[in-house]
Amino acid sequence: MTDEQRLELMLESLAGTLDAPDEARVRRALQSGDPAWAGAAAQAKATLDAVAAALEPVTPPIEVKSVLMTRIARDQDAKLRQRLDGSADPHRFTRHVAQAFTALAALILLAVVMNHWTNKRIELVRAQERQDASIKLKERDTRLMILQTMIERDQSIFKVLHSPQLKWVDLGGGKSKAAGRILIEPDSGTWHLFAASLDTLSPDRTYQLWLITPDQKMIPAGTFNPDSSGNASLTTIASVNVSAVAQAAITEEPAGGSPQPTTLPPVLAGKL
Amino acid sequence: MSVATLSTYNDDALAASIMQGEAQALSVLYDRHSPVVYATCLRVLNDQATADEVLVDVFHEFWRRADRFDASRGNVLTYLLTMARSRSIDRRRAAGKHDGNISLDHDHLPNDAVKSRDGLSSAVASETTRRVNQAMNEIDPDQRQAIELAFYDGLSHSEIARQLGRPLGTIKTFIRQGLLRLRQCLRMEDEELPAAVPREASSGANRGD
Repeated sequence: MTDEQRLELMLESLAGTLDAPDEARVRRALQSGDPAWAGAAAQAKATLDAVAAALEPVTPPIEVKSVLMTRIARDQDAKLRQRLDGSADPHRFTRHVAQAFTALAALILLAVVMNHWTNKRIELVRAQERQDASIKLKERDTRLMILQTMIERDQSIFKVLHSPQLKWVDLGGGKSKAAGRILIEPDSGTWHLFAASLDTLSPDRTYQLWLITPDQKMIPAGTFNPDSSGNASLTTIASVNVSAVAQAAITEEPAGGSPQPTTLPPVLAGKL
Repeated sequence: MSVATLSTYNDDALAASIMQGEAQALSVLYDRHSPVVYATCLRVLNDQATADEVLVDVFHEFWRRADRFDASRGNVLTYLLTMARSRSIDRRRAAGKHDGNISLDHDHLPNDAVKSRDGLSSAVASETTRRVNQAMNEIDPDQRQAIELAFYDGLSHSEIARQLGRPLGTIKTFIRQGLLRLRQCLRMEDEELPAAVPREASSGANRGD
């Protein structure tokens, strides 16, 4: 396509006389950025712009310029007033003060809210700390009680072991590897049982100690359960004098114990 | 800055001064181009009072929005004329004026609007105006009439066809051929002019009395 043909198409496009397919073609050509089409568009626009300049000039009335320059002067005054501090707007100072107070009030409110929130947080944290401390104290007290009990028992055992009247009974079983020993304080009638390797029982069963007289009378002396290692201990004060006891035995019984043995032979047994 | 100094500026330099807030620059620009802009307003509006208002609006708007003028996309005069034309057409449509009986000569103008053609010697008339007028006079009268109705009155091709009582295809042909002929005439003018004659009188030309 020659430059002349392009220019003709552009003129017709600007004049709105092109058919739709040709108009679309011209638009696509312009959008492609082709410099030849851009040049044709510029020339066509210049031709149409020339139409605007075709009229014979007419000098406007002189007062029109006065009106224009008055508006210009007013615009300049308004700009100047805006630049000067406090002179453009009589309420500017008041507005600024109000804005400052509003900002200050907002800051104070924010500070109050933050302070309240912070205090609440601190209270919650302190309450939690107090609760934790209380729990730890209780746990410590419980451990202390346990330790105290253990110490007292150990002290008792120490005393028993050093007693010149100490008696003991070794307990053995038939097939099980469980074993036990009873230390006896004749003066106080206190029997200390220590057992090991006992089988763990179901929750509805328990072990029971029996003191057996020479005439085979079975006297119940207390129940106990082993720990997870199979160890057990029991301290009891017998209802009969040690001299009246010939044997000691341990049987498996229902939980809570039984007035008389319900299972035989005993798990462990021994003679004094 | 003095009016005498500003009068030596071309339109782009005046526009730059106006952007800096130089009111005298706008005054010089107004003196230089208001006759052509006013003629456009009168041609479209056919009412002096409204044309006065639009003229003030156009130059006031240029003062307020001089930063929107892009010299790479056209000259100041074209920018002003485009603004004047579109605002005049808008005002005319808002007033509901569309009588269609537009006279093509200027004898109907009010008495206090001086015709620059009478008041100015050919030595001070815009070179551009002279060239374009000559080119417009060379195209067919029917073609010129159709172009002016489309350009100054903002009529669509259908409206022009209705007003002139011609087929729509004929009107489109008039406009197309008229623009092409105008283009040819302007190009021939460019080729005939001696190299010493400035092509754009608005570049640095002073307005005389």
